[in-house]
Amino acid sequence: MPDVKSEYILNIQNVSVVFDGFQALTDVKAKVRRNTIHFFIGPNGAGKSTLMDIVCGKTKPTRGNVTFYPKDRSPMRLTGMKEYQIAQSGVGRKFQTPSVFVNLTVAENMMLALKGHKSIMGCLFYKMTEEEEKNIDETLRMVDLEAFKDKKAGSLAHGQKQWLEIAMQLVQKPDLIMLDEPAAGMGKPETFKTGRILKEIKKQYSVIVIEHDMDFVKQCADVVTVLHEGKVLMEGTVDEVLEDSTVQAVYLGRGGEHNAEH
Amino acid sequence: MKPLISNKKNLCFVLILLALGLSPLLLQMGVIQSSSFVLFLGKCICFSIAAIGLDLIWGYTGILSLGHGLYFCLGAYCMGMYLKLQATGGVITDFMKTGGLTELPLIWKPFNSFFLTVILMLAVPAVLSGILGYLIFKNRVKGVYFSIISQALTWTGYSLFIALSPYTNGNVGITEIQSLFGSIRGSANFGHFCGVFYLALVVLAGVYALSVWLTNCKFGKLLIAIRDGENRTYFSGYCVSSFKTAIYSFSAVLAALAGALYINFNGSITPSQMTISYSITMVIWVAVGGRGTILGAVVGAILINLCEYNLSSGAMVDLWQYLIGGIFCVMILFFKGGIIGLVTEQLPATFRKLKNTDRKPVRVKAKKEGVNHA
Amino acid sequence: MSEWITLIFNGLSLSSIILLTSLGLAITFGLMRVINMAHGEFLMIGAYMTYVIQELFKTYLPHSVLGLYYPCALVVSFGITFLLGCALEKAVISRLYGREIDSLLATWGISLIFQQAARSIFGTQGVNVTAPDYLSGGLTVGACTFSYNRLFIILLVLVCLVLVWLMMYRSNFGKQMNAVMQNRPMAQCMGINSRKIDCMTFGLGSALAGVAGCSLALLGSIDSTIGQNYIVQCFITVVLGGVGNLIGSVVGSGIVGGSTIFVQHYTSSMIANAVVLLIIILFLQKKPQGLFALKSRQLDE
Repeated sequence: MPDVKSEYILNIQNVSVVFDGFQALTDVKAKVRRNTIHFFIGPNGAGKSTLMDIVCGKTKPTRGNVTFYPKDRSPMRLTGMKEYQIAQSGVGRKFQTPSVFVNLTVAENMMLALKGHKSIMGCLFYKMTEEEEKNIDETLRMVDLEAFKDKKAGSLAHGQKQWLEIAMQLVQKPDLIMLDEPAAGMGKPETFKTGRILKEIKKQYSVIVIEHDMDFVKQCADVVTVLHEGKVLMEGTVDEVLEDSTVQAVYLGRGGEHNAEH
Repeated sequence: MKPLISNKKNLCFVLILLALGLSPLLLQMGVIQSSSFVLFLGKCICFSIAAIGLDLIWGYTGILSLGHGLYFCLGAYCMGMYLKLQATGGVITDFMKTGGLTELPLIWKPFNSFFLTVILMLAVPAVLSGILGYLIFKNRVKGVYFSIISQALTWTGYSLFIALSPYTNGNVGITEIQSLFGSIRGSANFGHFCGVFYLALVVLAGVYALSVWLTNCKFGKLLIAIRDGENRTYFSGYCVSSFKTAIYSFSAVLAALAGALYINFNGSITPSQMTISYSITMVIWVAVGGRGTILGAVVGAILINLCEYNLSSGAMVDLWQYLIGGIFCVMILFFKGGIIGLVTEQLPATFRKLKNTDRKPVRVKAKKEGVNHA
Repeated sequence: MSEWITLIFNGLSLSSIILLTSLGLAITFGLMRVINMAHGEFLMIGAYMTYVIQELFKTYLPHSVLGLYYPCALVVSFGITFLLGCALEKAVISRLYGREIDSLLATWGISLIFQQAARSIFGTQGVNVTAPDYLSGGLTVGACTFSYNRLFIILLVLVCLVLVWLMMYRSNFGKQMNAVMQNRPMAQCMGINSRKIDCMTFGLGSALAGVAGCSLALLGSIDSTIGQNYIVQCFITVVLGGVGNLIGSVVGSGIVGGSTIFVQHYTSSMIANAVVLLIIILFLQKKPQGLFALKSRQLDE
């Protein structure tokens, strides 16, 4: 098997998507390096979320492939797999709007997210091990939700729900975490804290983030890919991207700059 | 025993169980005059079992089936066929002769054996609901679409049962049968009646315990997760459709079990229990009792049927229909949690509010007193 | 040959009845996403209104104008069911937007009340309407006879269809209605009174059921369960056609009606019902969104 020890964890190969005649993505190529935070930015409708949908199996690409290189396992082609299979094989995703299970407690939310025991029988006769409990406690501590362990997730504040959802991704110990606007609807201090959490995560995992807040991008991005009208405009470090005149014209000029000036 | 008592809902269920269990004895002692009332309580036990099944899929998983009458009837017909053959001694029945059959049809033959009857009674609904559930849930049909399809399915079953009258006796259904233990009418057969009654009670207790265990383990939490966010559950790595199929199947089996017990009390089964309106009646029980709690299903089934028993005879029959329609509508509009939700959440919340408004003037008073002291 | 023509005519006739009864649902369910289980009861009210108007004409007006009762009944049924629909929307439905399943159950409660009201007023025995002179009898061509009342229903459904189409896609009200259904907050921002539109739309859907009920009165006796007999077929027709799509409902009812008559030709009507429903259910497994699905980028969340 080649590429088992590949330095990349995800390879998006020439992906195109057409929705009812509308070309949402055209020939998108991108590679995500291991243990980095890879940002996808771009104006609304650039196809960022669609790209994530494709990776995690929510949308089927019209053309192209996505290959995933998990650590110590053979690479797998994500295109064509069901979303729950993709999730089981180690790709976690946080959605744009917080989607936690509001009628379950924080601890129960975490318990459902844990790796393994995802079959019917596994669920019927499941008992949490001490190690798993420790794992949950540690992850909750990381996002400052330890005190809320027995609270209903629905009673949490917006930002806390976002963190809980991130924690739910972490606790299943995936190889790759995808975060769709983790700082959406958060104030500055909360955003900053999210950035700190992200840097913490990076030590163990590879992360893909979609974000609008340029401060946030500057704070934690290793690599930035700019999407525009369904195409990759450019890829590079934060500074390279910020200096690029085309990027400034299509994206930063339209409010991105505005964000960046705060 | 300890967690049983410490949990108020379980304690409440045990009390209901005791009350039900005492009723035949009270009848024997003459405290309860009407034997038909106790017979009716027996039917209520069966309804509770069906309601628990419905609550598991609707209250917990968020799948509203408007077709559980189909499974209820499948169970009842299976048991009815066995009991009918017991009554005729295993030979061809009158309605088959009228329908032009000359010998016992093949699908009736297994029902000569009690063992096969029990197996078929549980397996037929399980397999049917398993296949339907697999197809429907795999294709991500959900919400009201599922409800509409389930109601169409029931209608299909109803039409078939009426159309195939040489095999099912059409509109009339299976009648003139005795219970598993023999006739239960009259004081001479009180022993038989107790047999059926306590059998049903034991089944109810078992089903309740099983369901409580089910909803408290990880499986149950997952059901709630599916209700709250189906897609999120998929992306957490669970094959939601197989979970849905499993719980749908389980609830169909419970409905069949309820039907099979019910026919012992009722002595007949007709396709009218397969209609959509009967299926929705079951939903009413759960909605009024309180969806999302197993106890709620039991309370709702017993309470609504008790009301119906007392009101739907004589001059009140018109009023009852208005009442049940109104109650149902109001429950859905204002008391989403049903009676259980009302008692455990809405009332305490109101009390707290009242208390708080009470306390405010008190606090002001205390302050004033403090000022005086100074 | 004549056998086949009769078969096709019967299929057309049944399809038109299903379409007429589904048209209202196509609006309340298709556009507003409200599952109105009381839709069948609006049919029933329309049918009973026809009976009431007929009796009033018989009692108070000279025999010479008796034939006019039917057009009159159409108008009255439309009006009464429209008002009832509006009232239902104001009292119940408007509290349950976004809770589809709850609206289904609440309207079921309403339908129980309506049914009992019908039994209290008209009794459990069915009542009959005599078709006016100009609708009784039939047109005989060769060996085939086309009864006038069925021809009339086909005509009625065509008229309703054209009117609904004009209203939905050509009128100002229709534009506002579509705007509200597609993006409520945006429509509100543009100064559309969305609550009024909701109310009117629901009333209109109910009124169409009333008209359909009026036509059902011509075909058989009227009792409190008349609505229940159609409701399942109606819902499945709308789902088959693709929710939110008028053309879908037309094609859907054509398929349901046509195939039912066709299967019925070989077996009994009960089995035909069962077989057709079963086939549709299986078909929906293949295309859960129905025949004419609206594809959009927005997923259901």
